Amino acid sequence: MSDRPQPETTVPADETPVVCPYCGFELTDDKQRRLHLGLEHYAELTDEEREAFKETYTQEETELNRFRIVALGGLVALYFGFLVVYAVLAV
Amino acid sequence: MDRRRLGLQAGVGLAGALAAITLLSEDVLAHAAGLRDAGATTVDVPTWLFLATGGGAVGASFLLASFVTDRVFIRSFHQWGGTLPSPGRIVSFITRLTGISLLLLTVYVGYAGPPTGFRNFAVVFVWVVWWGGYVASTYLVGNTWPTLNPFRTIADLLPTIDRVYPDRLGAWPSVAGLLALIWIEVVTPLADDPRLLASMILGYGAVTVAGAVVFGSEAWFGNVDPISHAFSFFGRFAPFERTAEGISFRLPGMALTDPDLVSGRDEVAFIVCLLYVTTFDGFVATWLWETFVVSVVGFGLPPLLVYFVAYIAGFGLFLGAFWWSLGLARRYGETYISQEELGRRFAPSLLAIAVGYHLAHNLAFVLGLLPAVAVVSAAPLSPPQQPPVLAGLPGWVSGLEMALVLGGHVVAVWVAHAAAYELLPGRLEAIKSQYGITLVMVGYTMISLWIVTTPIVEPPFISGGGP
Repeated sequence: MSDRPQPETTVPADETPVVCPYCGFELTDDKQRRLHLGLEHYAELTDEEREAFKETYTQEETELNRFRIVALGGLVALYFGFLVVYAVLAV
Repeated sequence: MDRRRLGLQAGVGLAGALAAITLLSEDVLAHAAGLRDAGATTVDVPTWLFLATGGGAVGASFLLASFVTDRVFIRSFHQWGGTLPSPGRIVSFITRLTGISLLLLTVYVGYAGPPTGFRNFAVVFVWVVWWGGYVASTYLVGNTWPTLNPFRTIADLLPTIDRVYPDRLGAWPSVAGLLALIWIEVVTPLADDPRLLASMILGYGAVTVAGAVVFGSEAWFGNVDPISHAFSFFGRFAPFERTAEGISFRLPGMALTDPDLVSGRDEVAFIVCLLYVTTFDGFVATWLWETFVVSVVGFGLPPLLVYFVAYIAGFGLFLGAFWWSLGLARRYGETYISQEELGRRFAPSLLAIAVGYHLAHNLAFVLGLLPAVAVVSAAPLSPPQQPPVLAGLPGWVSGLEMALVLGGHVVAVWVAHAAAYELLPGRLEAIKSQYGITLVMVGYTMISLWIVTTPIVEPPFISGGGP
């Protein structure tokens, strides 16, 4: 998984990227860097970096759960929305 | 671009789409029809609701895909597969011979056979068997065109000059070539006039063979020839693919996330073009286009110019929409990955849409004309006066067509989702990067469903037919 060629990046002139120390890949912030490190360079990481990755990953899980609830709400709204519209219009 | 401006852009787009839908659906019922008069049936819901349902289904598939966030699980779908032994030389030889024989027969009967469209073997063979049926095989089974392609077989028999193909041109010539081919198909009666069709095949063949002789087969069929290029992309959707080791098999569409599938912006443009040309071909046969072109030509503009400007502008619009969605992917995906690179990785998902659309467009057409194909092929030089056609296809065929258009979009949503998970470190960001692409796909679903179901009119001013 590591050592695969990273995609090409372009950074807007007024922003400073966070750079991966292992492959030079440019990332937008520290959270993205921690995730990138864990996903691409796990074998080479120090214990501290691994810990940071795991923590960020778990934290991401909470955010994802929040997103899933919204997505589920969206699906339900979409489904019942169409159900009602069909019930009214397509007799 | 800040969040507010973005919301504004999306809002304006959405409002525009809604206005267009309401405008288009003035007590018109959705006609679930096939291609060009193949048995129209009526769905009993207002058009706008029908289109919104299609768009909603694509949006829902994005929401559903967002529940799948396990990278290993996603990858397992895309990596499943194996390898079968390669077919022997004898099979290749027979395939090449078949390609050449069919080419000779088509051109000969095109000139010598009856002059009416669907009584002539050339027209029936090219449009029903080759364009409808064979093209479907390139994405449903595998791309056999490199072997079957008679022009490639001929070119390989001739000595090559091996001039170096200029790298800076990339695949751009195939974009121009595809635009040119479909332009000719739209504005000339290629589907009705067997003599013209035969001349067109000879002309295309001469250019192709000459090009392959000058630049070598690999360079020509890989970069310039639009048909080979299109089929090689369709072949990447197919479950079977010829590789150096033999014939590899994957789940259909799952090879579309391979990182090296698209080489640069030239090929991104080609894939967008592939999707665009089928849309344009359908769009000129709608009443909306008829109304527009008749009124514009009323101001004294030459009809062909109007067609041409609209053709190129539409392509620009498609490219622009895709590029815009990539900008959103970069922004919401919290990434510095360049828009071009994102385009390279997300463009293959559009192939799934093109596949669904091609299948939906040609299914009823091919099924309906199969008896004609059989009868005309049995006696190419003296076909019956009225080749038989299947008049009434069962109602579920049109339902199946809608399902195919939607199915293509659903696979596309999944492929883009999987590509985002390969590219972006953040799982939530990977989902959010799909906002723009999903919006564009929802819009495109509604446009294509509208085109497929709206009653077909003869495009005005071209192919000898006036309004």
